[in-house]
Amino acid sequence: MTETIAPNTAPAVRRPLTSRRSVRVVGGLLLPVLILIAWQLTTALGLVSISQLPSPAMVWIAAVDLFDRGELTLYVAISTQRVLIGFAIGAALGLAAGSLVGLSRAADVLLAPTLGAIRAVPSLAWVPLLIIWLKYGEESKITLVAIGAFFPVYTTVAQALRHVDRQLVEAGRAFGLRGVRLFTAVQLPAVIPSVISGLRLALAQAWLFLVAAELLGASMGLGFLLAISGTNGRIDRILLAIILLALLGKLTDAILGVFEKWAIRKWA
Amino acid sequence: MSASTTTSTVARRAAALGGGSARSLAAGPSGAKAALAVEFAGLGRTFAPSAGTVASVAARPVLRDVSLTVRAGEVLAILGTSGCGKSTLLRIAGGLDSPSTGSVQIDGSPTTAFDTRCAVGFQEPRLLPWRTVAANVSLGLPRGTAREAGRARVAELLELVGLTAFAGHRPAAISGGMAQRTSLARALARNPGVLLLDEPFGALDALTRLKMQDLLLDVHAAAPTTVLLVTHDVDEALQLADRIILLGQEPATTDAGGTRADGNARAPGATTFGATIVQELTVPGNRPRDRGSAELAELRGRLLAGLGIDRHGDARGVASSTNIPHFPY
Ligand SMILES: Nc1ncnc2c1ncn2[C@@H]1O[C@H](COP(=O)(O)OP(=O)(O)OP(=O)(O)O)[C@@H](O)[C@H]1O
Ligand SMILES: [Mg+2]
Repeated sequence: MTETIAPNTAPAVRRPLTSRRSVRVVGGLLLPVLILIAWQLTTALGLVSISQLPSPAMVWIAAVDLFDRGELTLYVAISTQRVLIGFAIGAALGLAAGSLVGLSRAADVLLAPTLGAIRAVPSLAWVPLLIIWLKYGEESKITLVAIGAFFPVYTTVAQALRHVDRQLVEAGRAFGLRGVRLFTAVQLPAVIPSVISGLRLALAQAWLFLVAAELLGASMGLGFLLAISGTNGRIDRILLAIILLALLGKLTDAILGVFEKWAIRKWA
Repeated sequence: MSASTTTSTVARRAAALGGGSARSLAAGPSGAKAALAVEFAGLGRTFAPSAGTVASVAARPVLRDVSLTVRAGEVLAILGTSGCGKSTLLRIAGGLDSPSTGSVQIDGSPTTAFDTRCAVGFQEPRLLPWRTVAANVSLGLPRGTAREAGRARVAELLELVGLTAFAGHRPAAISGGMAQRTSLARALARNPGVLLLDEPFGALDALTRLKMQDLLLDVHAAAPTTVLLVTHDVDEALQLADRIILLGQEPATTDAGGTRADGNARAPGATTFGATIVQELTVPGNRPRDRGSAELAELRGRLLAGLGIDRHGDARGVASSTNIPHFPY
């Protein structure tokens, strides 16, 4: 908020233009629309061959075609389902492990180095192992997504808990709080804003790991669509999958963003 | 103490509190616990050098040989210059810190970590930012207080500290003085055997400070509890306390025999052996006291001298004509 040296007679504080909802929505759509126009122009004027860059209309037709076969809905649904289930499992485990490591010195000493090492393993390295262990079924994909979602939550929660204002924790203890009651009354509320930003990171990472999982071993889903379109040379479908991933990622992130706003108003 | 001089104080007290609301505090929903005696025996506290400091910095003694018995129900004021260890002493009494040597006993048994017989009003307000003022005060309620009774008690305490209108505000939306009053209300909500207050009125303006001092006296009169009150305000100590201790370096450890400029010209680091009780005096008369009495003026002079403040003139000579309390800021 800018410093408005408003006299007391001013009934409401003026909000800067950039914090208005309509301005934000229109402003955010500006660049995508420009890109779309540029894309349309390049293909219409023949600056790039359509075998390299199909026109927006061709991508739209590919979408309609896939939709008519029932594949589009299926792929979007299965990918979203994998992300949501994997994200839920990974975030819950990350919250638990992060709380443990952030609150307990012993857990920090015992667990933090190992978890740090596991975290350093690149996502793709898990895929062959998971496929052998869990076959091509849902479990392997969901596990990989959960691994992806786990670490951002674990790291932010553990960090944030270590940095909770000691004076507040001490005050809580002085007023008779300990254990679970101290955690829910002081430590948890203090870290909620960081937990939510961790969750947002985790969600982005979940989509990332989903595509990794589906690219390498799946029979449906957006990553699978990317993989077979790559081998078939269907650039229109590749673009479609990329656009869908962008939209889905942004949509799920926006939902968490609403939750974040609410939580910050309540807890910060 | 003459009756005429105290009348005005009593009248102001009554006005400030809007009637005898403090009286009802005695029969608070959670019931008053008995005041408990506190006994310090040869207490000392030395802080180990922290990891960040240079190697040459040795362990730092802050307190040494503090021996004192605070009677149940007594109000003890702890005076001393900044950094002499007042907060440390209070924290040890409340089980927030442990002594390096010696011991503290409350009601004849050693203090435990975060002793539940004590309530602390910290030097900083330490309010939970996500809770409203009322919810912060309710944090102080003793465990197992019934919901309704707790709510009534919180409302009562907020009324006493003059924050009813701000009950629903978050700490970020109230002033520093209001936050400090909230913190005081939270400590009072505990109804403790020992009330530990660390400069509870430090951030208040002069008028609010007087009101809050009177509030504390009323609460104490209504529900007797042992109070350990850290302050750097000599007049506050004289007004509120039954007994005052002055923490400082023992004169023997400083070069001058007298106490004249020692407090200000303390050589940093070199000859500190930790602060101990250098003066202990019982304040005469019953509360509320006449702030202008000659007797108090003489005590004030002694305490100020102990704090290293030169009063520009022989305290004993001018004391009887001093009517205006002055604050040693
Ligand atoms: N946890 C700690 N670790 C190391 N040193 C400490 C610690 N707590 C306090 N001290 C030291 O002890 C000394 C006394 O601190 P304390 O807070 O008790 O002073 P105080 O008398 O309350 O001062 P003030 O009036 O300014 O509040 C200080 O020099 C401080 O540096
Ligand atoms: Mg202090």
